Amino acid sequence: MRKLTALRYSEWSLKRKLFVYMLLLAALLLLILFIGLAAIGRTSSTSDTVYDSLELQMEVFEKDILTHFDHLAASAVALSADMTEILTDSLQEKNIVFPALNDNSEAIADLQGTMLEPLMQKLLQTDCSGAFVMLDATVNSTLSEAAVSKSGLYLQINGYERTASDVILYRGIADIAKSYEIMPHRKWRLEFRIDLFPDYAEIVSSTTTPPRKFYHISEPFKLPGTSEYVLLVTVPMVGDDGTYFGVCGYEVSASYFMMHHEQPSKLQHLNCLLATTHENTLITAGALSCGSRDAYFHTLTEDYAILKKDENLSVFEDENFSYLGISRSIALASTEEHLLVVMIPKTDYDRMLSKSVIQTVMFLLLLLFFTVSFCRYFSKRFLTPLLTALEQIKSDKRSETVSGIPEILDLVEYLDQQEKARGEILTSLEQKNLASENEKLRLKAEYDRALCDFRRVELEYTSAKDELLRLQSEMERLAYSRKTEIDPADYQYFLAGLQTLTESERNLLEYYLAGKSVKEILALTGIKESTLKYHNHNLLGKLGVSSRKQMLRYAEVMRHQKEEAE
Amino acid sequence: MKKYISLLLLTAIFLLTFSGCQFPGSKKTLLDPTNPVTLTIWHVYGEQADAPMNLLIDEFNDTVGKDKGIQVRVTNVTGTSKILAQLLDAQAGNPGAAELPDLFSCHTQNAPALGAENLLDFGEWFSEDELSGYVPEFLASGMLDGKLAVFPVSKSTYALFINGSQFDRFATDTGVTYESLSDWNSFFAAAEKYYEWSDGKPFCAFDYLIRHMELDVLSKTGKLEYTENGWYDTEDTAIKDSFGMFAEALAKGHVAVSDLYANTQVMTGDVLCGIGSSAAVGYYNDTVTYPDNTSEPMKLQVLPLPRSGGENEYMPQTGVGISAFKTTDQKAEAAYEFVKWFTESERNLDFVVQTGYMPVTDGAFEAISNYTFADDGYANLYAAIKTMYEEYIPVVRPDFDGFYDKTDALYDGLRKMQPSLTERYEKGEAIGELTEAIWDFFCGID
Repeated sequence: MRKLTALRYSEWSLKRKLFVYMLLLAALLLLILFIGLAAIGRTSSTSDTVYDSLELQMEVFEKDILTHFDHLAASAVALSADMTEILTDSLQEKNIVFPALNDNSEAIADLQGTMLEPLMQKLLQTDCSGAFVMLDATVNSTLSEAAVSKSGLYLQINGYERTASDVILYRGIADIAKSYEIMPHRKWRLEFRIDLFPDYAEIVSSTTTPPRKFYHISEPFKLPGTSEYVLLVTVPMVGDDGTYFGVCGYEVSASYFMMHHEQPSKLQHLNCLLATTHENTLITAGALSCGSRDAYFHTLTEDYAILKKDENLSVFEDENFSYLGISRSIALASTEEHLLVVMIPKTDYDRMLSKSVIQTVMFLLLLLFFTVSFCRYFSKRFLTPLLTALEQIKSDKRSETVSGIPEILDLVEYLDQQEKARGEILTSLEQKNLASENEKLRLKAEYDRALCDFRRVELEYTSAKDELLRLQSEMERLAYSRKTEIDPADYQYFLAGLQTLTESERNLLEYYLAGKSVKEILALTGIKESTLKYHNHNLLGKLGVSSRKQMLRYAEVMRHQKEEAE
Repeated sequence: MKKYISLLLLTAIFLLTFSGCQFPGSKKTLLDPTNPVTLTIWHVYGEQADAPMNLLIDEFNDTVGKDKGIQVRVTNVTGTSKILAQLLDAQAGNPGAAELPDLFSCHTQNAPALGAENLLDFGEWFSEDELSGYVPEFLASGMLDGKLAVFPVSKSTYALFINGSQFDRFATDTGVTYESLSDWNSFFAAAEKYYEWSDGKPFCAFDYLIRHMELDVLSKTGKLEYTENGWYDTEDTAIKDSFGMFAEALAKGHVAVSDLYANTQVMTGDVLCGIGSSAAVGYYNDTVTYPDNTSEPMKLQVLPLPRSGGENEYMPQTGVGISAFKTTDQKAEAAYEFVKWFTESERNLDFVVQTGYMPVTDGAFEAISNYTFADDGYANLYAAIKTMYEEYIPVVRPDFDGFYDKTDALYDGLRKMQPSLTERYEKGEAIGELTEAIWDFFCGID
């Protein structure tokens, strides 16, 4: 029952109402905040947020990759045209046919000397880490491995700078390169080996296709003699007469890929990969990867199982580490399928999740804290002075009320005025009441007096009426007695005997006539009963009557006669 | 009032919790594993992703760096001279300049150009006890204006690298042995034999020819004089005599000044051997390929520098250290943690034996003799280094202003002069005149 009373709104204190209102306000603000955030799509789980970020990153990364390799393919096609032209011109100049280059180290050296500078310029102008021209010719066809050995130039950019002084020679004639101040690579060789060149047979078989419609992008592979993974964009070189001259193209190394495709992202430890998969396993060997700009990411060295986390995100995990991310197939060239993966360490995701939960809890606690604090503040700054003022107004010290609330001061002034007006009315009413009371007392006195008069008159009237009745009765009795009981002689004797009565006997007669009883007479006179009996005996004797009754009857006759006489 | 303060404190705690900040001084370290600090580094230890330095950085990031909140990121790999030029560009804010790194490989002689006041003093972070484990001479070589501005992480010296396959044939034909290369006199004798055996190919290419003249003079006289201009005292007969020894071999074509690094000439069969930095071991190809495309395994042999035969033998002590730009205390602490981790004895040994450097701690030096090398070339190198470490006196190379511009000018001049000098010698011109011509050129550098 008490609880029901507590729930009754009308009985709530102002403090409680204020608290509930503030709570409702906070809830309302929270609701509006959530509705607003929902309206602009900002209310989402950590998983959704991560997915959105990764999806956006994937869009950027995919566009980056597609644009980059599209440009590389176009550049490779242009390179093929340029190198084919140089080669054709050189052959014409020397007046030899292309097959005559075999075992002709001098002609090959001249050709490399002619090709080197344009190739270096192409290398420096193109977004790549290396450029190559491989001729279908060798300087020494007598060697056992001559069939797979091909002459050519393979230039790389060493390090992070893109200047001519950073160009090194991976394959080609060292002296030719040195004349351009290009030093040989530490794993330099004179010639290429086509058995180590990715998909060489496929590329050669495509020479019937016009160059603009064919280019080949290899899977990343370890560059022979080095530990560096590279990917080659290759275009065949074919003369106008259909002679196959060789291949040329560009290299993208893992280091260059990492540097060139740095992603503009706030995701720390973001790892973007261009990789391959096999039976739900992410193959990281040879995967090209990059991360966020100005942030570190871990280079993957193990293969990762691909598991589905939810409808959007996948988990990539090995025994020691796991990532969370998304993947997308991509066709860089017409035949090759690669996999783009954008992912972050799962520990980062877990941290984001924990942070999100903590922030939500902290936000709600903060909201509650501020609600309570503001309630207390408002209560102290607003309600308490109001309640204090009300208490003072209720007390008999209203005139001493000090409040910073103008409305309260107005109220106090109003109440004062009201009280003053009421006082005046009260005074007037009291005066009227007093007059009324006086009038009432006066009227009451008059009334009492009138009532007394009335009662007296009434008594008198009653008495008179009784006397009248008595007299009438007496008259009737006497009338009757005269006729029946009174002996005139005795009556005369009685009248005579009155004259003989002593004073005591006369007083006694008067008492009897007044109707007094014996006891009353004894009390009035203070005489003994025996004395009274003595006087009674004398009285009755002198009056000639035998009893007091006869005496009173004779006395009544006598009074009646007197009244008649008067 | 107390309520207001409590309210403010609570609010601050909430806000700080939201912003992920911590109260300063709440921890001894300024590092925060939940909010790692990223240090960028420019180094010289190989550009390939799995170069030992890069792998060690990965290891650091995954272990100590992860635990302490430090992530090191390689943003440039190139030579020390380019690093210096790029740092100066970045400091000057030149167009196209890269952003300054936090850490970088640096020669002590390059540090003044960057401003000693701009560099972190590692001595403020390392305790005396920690520093006591490092080779004192190496620490001393990193001091700049009383500050340990260039922390030694590895040191190199010079060694003689030989194409073992070809040397075996040469030795079989001529009787020259590796022991024949133990002193300069027999070395040049072997060079002459090789020149004849190979139909006019230089025996050896020198990366830093003039340094060997310095060491030879030091060995024979115990002193080496420089002029006020930061060049050699050409009035000193010892200098002239020593220089003449090298100049004669040059003029005869028995030896050569390398194109830049001798390893490129060894791998192409242009020369049989090269003398250069011990760190060049990583750049020696495993195969020698000749102009006719025939090739053979390098079978790299490494020998100590030929001796001069003086009272003492000297070896160069070179190699870059790591410097850090002064930025924040947090980054300074992170740099200290990384450098300390990187130079711990066992790790320092693992690193240097893969890169051809000398370790910087006494413990690592002691452990070299028990180390099992995967590659014979590296084993040969460290055997040579051990010999020199025990029998030679290390000498820090000069760091005068403009000194290396002069040596570069000398080497460029010698490269250009040599073909004509050799041709003149072949035509019968007196060797004395040819060496005098080289001496005059040398004197003209000053």
